[in-house]
Parts: sequence; structure tokens; C-alpha cells
Amino acid sequence: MSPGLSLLQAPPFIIVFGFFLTAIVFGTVASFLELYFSLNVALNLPILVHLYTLGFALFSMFGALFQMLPVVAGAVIKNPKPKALLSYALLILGVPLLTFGFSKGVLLIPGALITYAGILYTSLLALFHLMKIRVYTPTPKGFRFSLIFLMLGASLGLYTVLSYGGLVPYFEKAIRIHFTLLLFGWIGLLIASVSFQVVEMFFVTEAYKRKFSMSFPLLVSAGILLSLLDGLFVLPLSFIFLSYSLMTIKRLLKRRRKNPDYTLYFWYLSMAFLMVSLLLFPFLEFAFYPFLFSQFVFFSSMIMGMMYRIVPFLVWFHLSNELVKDVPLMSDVIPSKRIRMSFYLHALWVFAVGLSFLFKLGYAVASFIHIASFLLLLYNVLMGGMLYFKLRGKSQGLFNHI
Amino acid sequence: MKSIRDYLTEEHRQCDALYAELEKHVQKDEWEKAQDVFRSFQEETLAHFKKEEEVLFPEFEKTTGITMGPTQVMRMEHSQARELLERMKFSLEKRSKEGFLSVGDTLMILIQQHNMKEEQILYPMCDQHLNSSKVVEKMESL
Repeated sequence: MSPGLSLLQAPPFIIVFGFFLTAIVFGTVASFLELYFSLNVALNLPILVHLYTLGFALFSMFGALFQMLPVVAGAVIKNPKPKALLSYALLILGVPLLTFGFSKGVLLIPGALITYAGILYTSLLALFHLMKIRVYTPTPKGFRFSLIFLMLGASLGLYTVLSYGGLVPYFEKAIRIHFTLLLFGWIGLLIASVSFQVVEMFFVTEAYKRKFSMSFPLLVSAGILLSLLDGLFVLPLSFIFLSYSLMTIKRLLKRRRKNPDYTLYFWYLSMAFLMVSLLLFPFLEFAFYPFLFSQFVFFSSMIMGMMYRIVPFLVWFHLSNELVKDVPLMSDVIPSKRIRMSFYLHALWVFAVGLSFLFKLGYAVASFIHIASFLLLLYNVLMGGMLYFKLRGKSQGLFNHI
Repeated sequence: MKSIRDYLTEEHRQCDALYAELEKHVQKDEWEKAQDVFRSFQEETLAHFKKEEEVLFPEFEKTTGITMGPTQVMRMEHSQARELLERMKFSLEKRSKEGFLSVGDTLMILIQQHNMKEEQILYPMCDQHLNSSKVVEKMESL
């Protein structure tokens, strides 16, 4: 039997907010580095890629997992604060060290080891709780698989770093397997598993076909295995995610709620670029940078759209549970005008990078826009979250422990 | 006979459809129609809460002995939804589109995440522990 739901078991707001805010700070730092690299011509890809994937995406996704495990799956992590703190501490130490190591060549191995410890600890913690519950829906099932892919992909990442230090033999295909596992098995599968749940919930759409959503993790696993053979064998993986993105777009277009909502546009952008990345995936030798860029637009747009939903809702939800009077509604926490502005800036950045790819210039301009986009996201989420801490002091004190 | 999950999930979908219709009228400034649909939406939603609070939750608590678990959370969320419904009614009376959409967005997310927990965790637990056909019959008779 499921361990059940309880308000007392819902994670404190600070956990989700802390992870989200840190993720955005990493994204902002990365956008500044983007500008630095564009002005200095030499691009250090490992630094940027790891700041965006480990700093921005991993922190966002771990924050979301702490929130979603009890709510979506009924997998309750008891006493979550110290556990989340340990996860946070390992990653906040490991990720900067690792990226610094990519730049200077020192501290790379300690950074990789600490980051790996953080990933392993958090994944095993989540998996341990997920394995205890009975799975009724595709979302917790997808969580299980994606966490396993995360650990496998991170293991290969660590192996590669150790091989740079001459501690283990160099294995040429390790990087390819590393990013395939992490981009498709971890990020892609996790996002798809969450969307099987929230697309219907946020936008009131038709549910995904249960057969498809329940078998999606297995399909992705098979697709990833096949893709390791290269050549035409990468096509099934592209096809599986292409089907998912088309189904998602179809549902969003046919949604029952037709009100203007800019978080929806983040979803469209995300799905469009997922499709672009899937079309490029079989041609990585010629299109590696556009592929990485498309993947980044896919997951960053999705994360931004989700944050703009999750943060305002959690602020309202927690304040409402804490019996605060005149609780601000979601649109008071982050006004829709600022979400709209954030979307336009983000889309403008995507457009600017696209032009830079075509004309081989203007990367600095695109980076400026990206900095502005991340700073606005930071401002929006920070102000929204601070509203919770400001107002909770005014609560009647009955549920302050939550 | 339907399972508890199927029966109550169907009601969730009916309420969703009514809300979507209501929002459409508000977008088009059709305030009279919006008032009518709101009344149906509110009635259906409150009737659904009543079935759960007066039949399903007590049965579940009596059978499992769990009184401070999921049912307590669900009751709390019902009360949050009731408060938002009142705020929504007020915005409709004032014909404030912005106010309505703002309350509506919050209410929808609250209701959807609430429904999700019920459909995926609570209802299957109820079907597992209770005599589903008897419970559905009792809820229908309300």
C-alpha cells in the first residue's frame, strides 16, 4: 500500500526554493561566461555544458523531485531538511569545483568525486523511497528509470575524468555514452515522465495514452541501448522522443483552457527544440553544437515554464496552509506580465543564437540577451519566494513548522 | 458497477469541462452566461466534495483506522477550494476578468493537483480496502 499523503510530509518550501534559486544562479553565471567566451573567441564547452546541465538542470530537477515524490508518487521522505541539505552541500561544493577543474585542470578529480557523491546520494535516496511504493502511474515509474540513467551517466562521467588523470584507461566512447544516457535517459525521460502528469493538470488536456506513457521508460531504455551501436541504430531513440513531443504538442493545442498563458509558450518552444535536436541526433559529427544548443533550449525552456508555475503555486499553497490572511494568488506572486517578458527575452535569445550560427557573428549580442533573460528569471523567482518568507511571519502560527 | 476511482474521476472531468466553459465565457465578456456556468460548476464541485466528505472519507477512515492521513489533507484542500470559489464568485459579480483569471489559475492548479493525488493514490487505496459498489451506491444516493 502507498504510504499515503499528508501535509506534514510535504517538503518545506525552502527545499524546493533553495534548489531552484541555486539552479538559476548557476544559469546566470554560465550566461556571463558565455559572454566572456564569445568576446575571447575560445569557447570552453565542458565548462558551459556542465554549468547548464549540472548547475541549472540538475539543481532544478532535484528540487522538483523533492517536491514531487510525496505529492505525485506518495513516496514520502521523512525529515527531508537534513537529507536535502546533504544533497545540496555535496552538489554546491562539487559542481563549481568540477567546472573550475575543466578550466584550470586542477581540482577536476575532487570536484567530480564530490559531484558524483551528491548525485549518487540523492538518486539512491529518491530511488529507495520510490521502490517502497506501489506504482499506479507512469510518472513514478519514469522517475525510477531516469534516476538509474542519471547514476549510470554520472558514473561514466566520473570514469572519463579519472581517465584524464591517468587513473583508469581512456575509453573513447565513454563521452558519447555519457551524454546519451544523461540527455535522453535522465533529462529527457524525467521531463517526459513529469509531463505525463502535469500537461493534463496544468492545461486541462486529454491524458496521454496509458500504454504509451507506461511503456515509455522501457522504450527509452531500449532506444538508448540501440543508439550505442551508432549509425541507423540511433533512429529508434529519436523516433520515441519525437512521438512524445508530437503527442505533447497535440494535447497542448487541443487543451480545454484557452486563456493566454505564457508558461504554455515555454512548453511549445521546449517541444519544438526537442524535435530539432532529435532530427540532428543522427548527424552529430556535423551538427554537434546545434544539437547541444537545441537540447539546452528544450530543457531550459521547460524548466523555466515549470518554475513559473511551481513557485507561485507553492507560495500560495504553503501560505494558505499556514492560515495567512489574504493569501496572494499565483498571479500576485509572479505577475503574468513579467512571465511574458521572460518568455520574450528567452525566445529572443534563442533567435539571436540561431542567427549567430547562420552568420557566424553576433554571439556576444546573444549572450547579453541570455544574461538579461537569466537575471529576469532570477528576479522573478527570488521576489516570488521572498513574498512567502515575508508573509509567513504574519501567519497565525498554527502550521509554522511545515 | 463502477469502481470508486472511475466514478469519482468522471466527476473530476465533468467539473474540468465546466470550468473550461466558464473561462471561455469570461474571456469573451459573456458575463450572464458565465454566471450560469459558474453556478453549475460550483454546485457540481461542492456536491463532489460532499460525497467524499460524508461517505468516502468516513468509510475509509473506519475501515483502515487512518484518520490523520490522506483524508485529512483532502479535507483541508477542499476548504481551500471553497474559499477560492467564493473569491471567484466575487470577481464574477464585479465582472473583473483579471481578478477572475487570477483566482481561476490558482483554483485550477489546486484542484488538479488535488485530483491527481486522489485519482492516483487515495481512490486506488479506497477500491482496495472498501466495498466499491456499496460506496458508489451510497454516494449516488446523496
